[in-house]
Amino acid sequence: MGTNGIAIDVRQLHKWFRNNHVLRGVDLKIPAGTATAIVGGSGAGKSVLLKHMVGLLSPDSGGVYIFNQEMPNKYSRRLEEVRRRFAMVFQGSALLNSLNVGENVGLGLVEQGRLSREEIDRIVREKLTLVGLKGKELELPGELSGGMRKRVAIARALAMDPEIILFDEPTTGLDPIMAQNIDSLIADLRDRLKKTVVIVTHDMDSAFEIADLICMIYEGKIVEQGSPEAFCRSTNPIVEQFISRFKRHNGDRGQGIRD
Amino acid sequence: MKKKTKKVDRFFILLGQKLLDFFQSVGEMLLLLVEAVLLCKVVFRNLDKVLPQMGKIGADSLPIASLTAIFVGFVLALQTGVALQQFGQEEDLGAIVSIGMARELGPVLTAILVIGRIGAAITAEIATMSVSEEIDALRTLSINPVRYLVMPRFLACITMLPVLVIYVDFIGTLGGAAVAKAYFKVPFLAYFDNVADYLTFEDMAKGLVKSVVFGVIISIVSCHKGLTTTGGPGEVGLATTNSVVLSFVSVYVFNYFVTRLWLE
Repeated sequence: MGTNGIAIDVRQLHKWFRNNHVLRGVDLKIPAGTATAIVGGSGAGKSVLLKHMVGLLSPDSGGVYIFNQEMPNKYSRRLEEVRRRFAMVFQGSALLNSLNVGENVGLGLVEQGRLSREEIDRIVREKLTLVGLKGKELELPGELSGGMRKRVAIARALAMDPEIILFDEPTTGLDPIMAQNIDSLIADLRDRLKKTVVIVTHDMDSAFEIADLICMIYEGKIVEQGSPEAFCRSTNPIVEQFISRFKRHNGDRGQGIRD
Repeated sequence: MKKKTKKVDRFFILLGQKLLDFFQSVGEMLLLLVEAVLLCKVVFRNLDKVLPQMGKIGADSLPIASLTAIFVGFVLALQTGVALQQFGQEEDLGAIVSIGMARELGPVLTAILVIGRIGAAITAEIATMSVSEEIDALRTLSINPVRYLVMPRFLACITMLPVLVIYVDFIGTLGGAAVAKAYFKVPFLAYFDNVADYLTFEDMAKGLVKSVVFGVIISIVSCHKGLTTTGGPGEVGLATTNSVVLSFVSVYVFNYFVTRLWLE
């Protein structure tokens, strides 16, 4: 586990959508250079929490701190500067359908206008090669499979060279082999590129495969957090119920957890 | 008694909510307008986005604009020609058709055309991007969606609508000339002499100012409805309908008040 301090510090975060109190005082510290999985059932508030981390949603109370600096509100000019430290891979990939794969991957760099066309093309080729999609620059997102779209989204995130990468349900809707490939790719990013990785998932295989720290969110609160081994041995009934199926398949002593 | 009170409470809560939503939307649209105007300073760095939009709104609208304008010119000349014929004033057809087109029909018809053809498409496109998280993806890439999506459409609307209006005015007047010649035996030369005698630069300018205002309304309403769409694909259709209806109503209302302002 990296010890470069806290990358993301969520303090007493509350969020309402009209009368629906989605986040109810979330406290969470994500160490830099590590992979953290946020798990929980549907509607628990995982994606809402993730969107607060990147400033797509503003808290009703509490705050999010990025490397000890408070996340600016959505009207602040500083928000774009803070967001440059992030990249996010969305559940549905969120590729721009009007652009081809190469244009999607290079979009952020082109819009920044800091690099030459040749330099951007080189980065696009490099990142597509990294995710195993060499030579697919000219294909349109509509021509790709779900797994390939996810990988293009990861390449797009990597092209911006962020310090923190957020993944929203990266393996949802993928077959087990493709899900395994995506998991390996994310683990590789953490190990080789030393990025801080946050994954929101309800796929426990993914969480145990990738994460250094697993946090369980339930009814808008973090109810358990710890290393995969500690999480697997948790006596919290909510956690036990949530991972019971995983335990049945992998044994209840944490077999299947990566070394 | 208690049941009745509950119903009254619910009515006022709903009314209050609707009013708050309305004022929030108006406020958001004004903020969007201000941001789009401020971002026009970076237009030259974004010509790759602005020019295609200008093409879509301007050049691609020409066939349907031509068809609409010429038939409106026909009808306008036919209806007024019959009335004028009773007083032996058919030679005034040129003035009536051209002034009618320049002051009212040109701007309003073009606005209706652009709302149906472009406004609906803008809302549907941006709403689809919203529900598939593409707008959020732009934000996380530090790309301002207002600069990337709204400003090019805003600029294209406010520049291309006046151009289309001039074209519609011209074609409509030409249609009027054809009917004047065919049904009322007014020679082309007499028709256009009459146009030149009565149609002033002020008439044209008023129509063009209106078209700029309509361009602002159409682009901002369409983009705002698209950007604020949440939920699933069903919401895209709803947002598009709402955008078209709101644009129509806003154009009619603003048209009335702008015309009244000038008449005073």
